[in-house]
Amino acid sequence: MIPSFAEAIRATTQPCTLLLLLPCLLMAVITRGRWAPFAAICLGAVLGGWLFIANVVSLSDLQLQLSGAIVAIAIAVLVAAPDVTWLTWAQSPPTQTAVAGGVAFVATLWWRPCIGEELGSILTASRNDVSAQLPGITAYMLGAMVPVLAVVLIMRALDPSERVTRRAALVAGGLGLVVAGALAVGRHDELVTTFTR
Amino acid sequence: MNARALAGIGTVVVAVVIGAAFVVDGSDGNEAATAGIALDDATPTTIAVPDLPDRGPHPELVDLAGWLQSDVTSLEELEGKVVAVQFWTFGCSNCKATLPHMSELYQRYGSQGFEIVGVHAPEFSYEADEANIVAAAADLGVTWPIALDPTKRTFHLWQEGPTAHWPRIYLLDRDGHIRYDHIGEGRYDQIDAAVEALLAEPA
Repeated sequence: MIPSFAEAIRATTQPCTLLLLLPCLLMAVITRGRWAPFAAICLGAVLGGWLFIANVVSLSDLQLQLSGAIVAIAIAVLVAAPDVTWLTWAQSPPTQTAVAGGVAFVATLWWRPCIGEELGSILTASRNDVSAQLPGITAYMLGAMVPVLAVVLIMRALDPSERVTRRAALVAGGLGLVVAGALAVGRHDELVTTFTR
Repeated sequence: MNARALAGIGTVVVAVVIGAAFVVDGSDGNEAATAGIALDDATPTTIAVPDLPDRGPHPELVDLAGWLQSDVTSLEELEGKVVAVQFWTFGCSNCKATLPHMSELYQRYGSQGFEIVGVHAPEFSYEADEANIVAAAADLGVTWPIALDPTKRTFHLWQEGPTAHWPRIYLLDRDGHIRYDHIGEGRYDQIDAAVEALLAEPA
């Protein structure tokens, strides 16, 4: 499990992890580095990882666009909530936690991973027995979330002012809208190509 | 100790964990290189041959846009040879990492009835451009036949379930039956042993 965990950490530096990691990082910032949303992000990623190795779901182009639109709306609501009276419900911790976990789960459906030796072995073996590979993919997904943990810890260590936190959330929300919006309008290819080339 | 200090310590610990993961990466990278060196070694280490169950005839290569670097235009023309069919795309870092090993395999066994067919299935649009594929093949040292699968119909036909992966290698025996497959990088020792075992089987 440790090699899987380590391989996932290394994979986070590669563009192919972008669609998994970036939404999770942004959600950690938008939810101000709180522990409950971080836990939900990890849970969403792990559940998505289980679904991934079960090889039962693959989003069609239309589903990809719809999921991008839903995530874009969710991010916009979370970011706008402090300034919009009728969105105050979106500031509640349970709502933010649920949205963070949901976005992480959806991001695993967008993800087309770099398949190194460990993930490759998990995927190959899961063709015969998915359940035996659950610990391995769990370790892998948690490894992929290490940069998110780093962001959470840095935010908590710096303990920035409300104004700085708000600005960081706005920037993260803007980036999130670009990523989710690109998927929603079917421009994900160009977006990843920009980062890849 | 207050929460900020704890978070600061946690940040340092996470930084150490990330650094350690990249130290492990060094040994992984060497593994690929070692596999290549072992192939040139006069006395390679004995490696257990993986199970090579007969999974039946290979699926067809469908909707190809053509072939590069090839005198053949179908897998049927390669019957009688042991064939490695590798699904790859030049923009995939893990696919690229397997190519030195594939190249070593090709050099070592190419004259013994072994062939490689790289089925190039692009993930992104720039990877579908034939000129880019030709340039990447030259740059990456890919000298074996390349089947162009821009629609990815072959890519999905060969791989079970809704999700298909790069890289993925299938080894076909001399009768064109699938005997071994692996997703992702690595398992170079197993692949070497499987190729040797399949070449040793009677024609």
